[in-house]
Amino acid sequence: MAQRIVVVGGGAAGIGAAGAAKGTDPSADVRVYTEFEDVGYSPCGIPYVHGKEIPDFDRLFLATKEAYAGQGLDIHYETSVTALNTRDKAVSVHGEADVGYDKLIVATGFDYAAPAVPGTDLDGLYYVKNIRRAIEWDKVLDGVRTAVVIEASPLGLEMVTALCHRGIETHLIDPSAWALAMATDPDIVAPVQQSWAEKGAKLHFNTTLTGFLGSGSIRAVATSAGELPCDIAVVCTKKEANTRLARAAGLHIGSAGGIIVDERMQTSIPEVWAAGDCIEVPHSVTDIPIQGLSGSHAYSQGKVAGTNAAGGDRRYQPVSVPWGMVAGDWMIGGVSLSETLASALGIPHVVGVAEGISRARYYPGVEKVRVKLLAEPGELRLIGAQMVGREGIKERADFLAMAVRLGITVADLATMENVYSPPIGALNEPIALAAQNLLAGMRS
Amino acid sequence: MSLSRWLRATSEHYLMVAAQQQVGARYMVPPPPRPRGVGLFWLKIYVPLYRAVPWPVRSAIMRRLPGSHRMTWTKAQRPRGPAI
Repeated sequence: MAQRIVVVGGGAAGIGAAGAAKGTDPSADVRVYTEFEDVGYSPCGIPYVHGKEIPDFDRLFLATKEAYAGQGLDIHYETSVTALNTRDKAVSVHGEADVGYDKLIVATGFDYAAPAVPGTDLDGLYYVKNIRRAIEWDKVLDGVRTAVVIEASPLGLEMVTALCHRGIETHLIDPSAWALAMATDPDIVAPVQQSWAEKGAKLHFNTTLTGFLGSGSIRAVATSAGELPCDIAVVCTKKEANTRLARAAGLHIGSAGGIIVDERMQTSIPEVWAAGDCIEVPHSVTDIPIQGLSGSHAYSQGKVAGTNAAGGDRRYQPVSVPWGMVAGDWMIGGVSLSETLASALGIPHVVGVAEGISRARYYPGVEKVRVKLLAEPGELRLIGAQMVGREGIKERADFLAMAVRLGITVADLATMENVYSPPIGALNEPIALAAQNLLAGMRS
Repeated sequence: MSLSRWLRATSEHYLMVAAQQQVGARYMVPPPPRPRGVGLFWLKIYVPLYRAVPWPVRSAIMRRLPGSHRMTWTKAQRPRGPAI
């Protein structure tokens, strides 16, 4: 008899899990339950539709509902799972009878950290997540003159850029001293902040949100530095693991707030796997569990969970966290630890910085690329990197993530080979230059 | 929120405040405002104590907290010798 695999959640992890389960065992009855109207779209693209870089929301859908049905996935839309009964191996579904399972995959995603301030019930607070709500909000943005973005998270950076592109007077407030302070350093993000200011954005760092003000609808944001009148507030707080169902079912939760899993995405309860923003995984350098990574992490975790739930064998690895984004007029990115994060954790490190170029010096379109490398002071293995430029950041971040994973040293990077072709690569690779500067700094 | 999670979140917050003060000064960025009340304890007592403990000891303490890192994570075996 065909095994029934139930997936709770239809985001990147849930759909990745469902597809991988079906691919591993085509005879399996794979059911996905999502409380939302859609699955399989890219929420990461939403800011770029708001900013008019992408012309419409239709492009964000990865496949049609008919396509998923054609693949044999039984997806239940706008259907909430209200409880996980792991003892009886069944899930409670709102408005329906309990559904038994042989294998269960929890992919319940995240919630934005709720601002613990008055006024969160006012109209005019936008949490960027659901594409249907985003379509509605996009029409609202046509009439918005002033917006406040709450916190300079990765989404916050994208939304500030998008709103500026849209010609909306944009304020950014964040309690940290610079944007994306959890992941990057002030010298790396400085060009981004400068370009925002040139677009008219008002940046309020070291500023804490104290409330949302208004009667029915928002009229202003209250902060530690005073009130900011606005038509909407875009709440871009930290992503917190949605573990309500998992916690109630007795799954173990870790210190990062995510469901505890092993390399096969197996949870603390047999026949139950979990993947995506609701779990935590170890960081490859520090071995500390972390949570709330990117869509690509969620999707690949989902595939691991789905494969294993269906009877296959696939392993995940501790993460080095390459990241990158367009913010303002710049691309920024990095891997693993920033100088700030390493200092916060008290991890001994040495730093090397270089400013190189992205193409041959004489080739049109050449841009500067600033690279900062962090290494442990003993063997000089790479433990982190930060970059800013106008091209080539993502590729370097991917490469350096693999370098961190493999324990590549600064000496390796200082003598790395690189592509030299005038339109696409400079004679001296900026990563190599940063590594050489690090070594030179240690000798002096 | 569990004790371990609260401890981790609060510790991270004040360690980051201190790190922003330190790194921000290096790059001439206005530092975060000084915390008040119980935040002063975390910044003035906890952070220096944390930094005084050697990294291997701190790391060992952090690894004792509940989390996925304590589950099985097999290190990938790298082939040795020439590829061909």
